[in-house]
Amino acid sequence: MRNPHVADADLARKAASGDGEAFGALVDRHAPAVRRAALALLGNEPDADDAAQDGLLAAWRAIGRYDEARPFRPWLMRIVLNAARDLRRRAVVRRADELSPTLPAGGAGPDRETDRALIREKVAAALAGLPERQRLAVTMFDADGYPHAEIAEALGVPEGTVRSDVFHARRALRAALGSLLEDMR
Amino acid sequence: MTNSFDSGPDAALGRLLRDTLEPAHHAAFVGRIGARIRAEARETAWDILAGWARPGMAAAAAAALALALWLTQSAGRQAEIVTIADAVESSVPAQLLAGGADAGTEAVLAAMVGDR
Repeated sequence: MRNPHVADADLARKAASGDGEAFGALVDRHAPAVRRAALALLGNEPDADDAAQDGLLAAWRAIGRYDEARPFRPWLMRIVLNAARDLRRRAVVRRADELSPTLPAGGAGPDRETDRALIREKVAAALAGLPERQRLAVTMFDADGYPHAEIAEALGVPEGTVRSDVFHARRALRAALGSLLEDMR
Repeated sequence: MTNSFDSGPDAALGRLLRDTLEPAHHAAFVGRIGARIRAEARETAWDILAGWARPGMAAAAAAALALALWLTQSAGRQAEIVTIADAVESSVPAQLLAGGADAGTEAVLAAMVGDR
């Protein structure tokens, strides 16, 4: 069921008939993007994961209402973002003044890890300075490769608004992270 | 560096964003969701059974009541088939009585055949 060539719509159809494994394959496929978006929205990883989990379970319960004629990713993303906003509204979000960078992965030496942590802090601070919708749009577009149309559907705004948000977010991030980005090119 | 509205994803920016917003422990997260889905599926099955239980018991009670009524009426009809008056009006008892204590099988059979 983890076959990447099986289309989302096929897996969603199986999931709608009660196949939990098929829905698990969809979770495996899309969890990184929805967790990333939830983190971009909420600013800390524990809340982001709670929201992503709530959203994914809500999607499982609502999978029978998914319209196969439409792309699956924005449908799922919209549910997860709604769960993240609900979590924030219930005021249970842990205090986070800025995006906390995730723990460094093992393997690299301490100096390299320190550098990576500093880079992440700088990127997180630059992201936190963006308006919420720009933060989500640029994350979905540049980090996860969503097309403008799918981002528009997930965020519930016109496609032109997404293009504008991505443009302005990129300009702000490039201004804040110029030297870092140049090093990476 | 690209600034166009319509350009594709910026690879360097995308890499920085992914590295900063990297979700940790992917397999554990997916496993947790899978476990919740399985648990919910089990709960749902029990909910369905519980939902069926009440109307099921009501239907069984109604069926038992209907069966009891039918049996009662059926027994009443059976009782009506051979009434005391029928038995008295029949010639069989008289013939049997006439046969006295020695009335044998022949007397019983003769009385029955003769009665038809």
